[in-house]
Amino acid sequence: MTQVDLTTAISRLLSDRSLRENFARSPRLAAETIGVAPSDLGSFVQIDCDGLCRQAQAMIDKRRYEVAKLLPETFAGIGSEGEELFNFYAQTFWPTGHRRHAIDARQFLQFLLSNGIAGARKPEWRRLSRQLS
Amino acid sequence: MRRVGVGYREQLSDWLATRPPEVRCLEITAEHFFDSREQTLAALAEMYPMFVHGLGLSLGTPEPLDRETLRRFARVATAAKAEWVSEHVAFTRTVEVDLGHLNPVPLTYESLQTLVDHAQEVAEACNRPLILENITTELRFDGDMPETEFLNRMCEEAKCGLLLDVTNLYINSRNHGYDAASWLNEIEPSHIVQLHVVGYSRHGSRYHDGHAARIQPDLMELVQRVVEYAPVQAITLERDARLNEIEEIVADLRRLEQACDSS
Repeated sequence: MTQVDLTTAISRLLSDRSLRENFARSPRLAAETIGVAPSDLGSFVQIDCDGLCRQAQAMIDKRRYEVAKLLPETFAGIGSEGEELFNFYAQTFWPTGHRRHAIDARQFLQFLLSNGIAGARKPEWRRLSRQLS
Repeated sequence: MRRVGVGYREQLSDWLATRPPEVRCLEITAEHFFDSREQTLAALAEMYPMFVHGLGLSLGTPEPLDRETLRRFARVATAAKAEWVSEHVAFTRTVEVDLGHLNPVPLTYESLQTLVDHAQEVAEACNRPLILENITTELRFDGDMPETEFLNRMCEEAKCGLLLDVTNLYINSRNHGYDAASWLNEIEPSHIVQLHVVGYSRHGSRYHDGHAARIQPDLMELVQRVVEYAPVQAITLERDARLNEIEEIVADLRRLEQACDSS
């Protein structure tokens, strides 16, 4: 297995909830699963699990904040379920590039529409699609 | 001469066009101008001394910088006639995933070398001085050296400066239980070129960088301490929300100006 540097290992933990859960149970086993380089093993297993989870959630919360600004009607429509729905969606897709927030918003709306979630607003999807074209 | 200004946001454009006396410099976010808009940059550069601040170069990534992002960043710096450019002591992506969020780098010799190499590459591509900003983080881990030593070495070896985000320093000190003033005293003062500051947010016992609040008195005390300690050249009020509260923004700018005058 290719050995993974510490920064890459941290990025895997931040982007993968199940990997974080494995890390919480056994940091050494998680290190083996990832293939952390031996020189980085000591630092890796000492990573604070609570801090890791808070950092990961902070990333999701920031994404949701930016997406909600772009989808005001949809977020009003899905109401209190919005946070949970976005948390679920956000584990499955990571937008890239400098237009990431618009891409993220369109993808989240697509997720809602595909799953028949009441409150999702198709006009907002069309607006974002025009913006991104 | 110390200058006080704001981070450029679209919602402030009409107000900035009036050239308010409280704004003596402007910082733009590079990524907001990646899709052309060079005319807007040129117009702003005519009115204000400019700095260009990046979010997505990911200098802490242990892989080559993204060439297209660097090219666009340098183009914006040129169009803005930036006095200097800035980025973060952080990584936002790896070859596997683009997290799109500023995450802490391990404080190791390897990370230090990665940052130094990338910092030199960015400064060369932009043909301008580069300064690097400290970030807020919920995540801390053991490394080869303390954060302050890491930042000092980075500045010395990369020949770059420090953009000290005073709000981030305050937030980290509260969340992780250390003294911000002691941290500051470990930083070589000559490295500190620019400050970022904005009021912090608080949820229960945790502090956050919401970029929406007025500068609180205890945070302003820390700003005062920094300007007395270091030869800071510019201070940027970094508001992202409640941007219609112009009187509030002006009041904070005046307080920052007073802090500079009294140092």
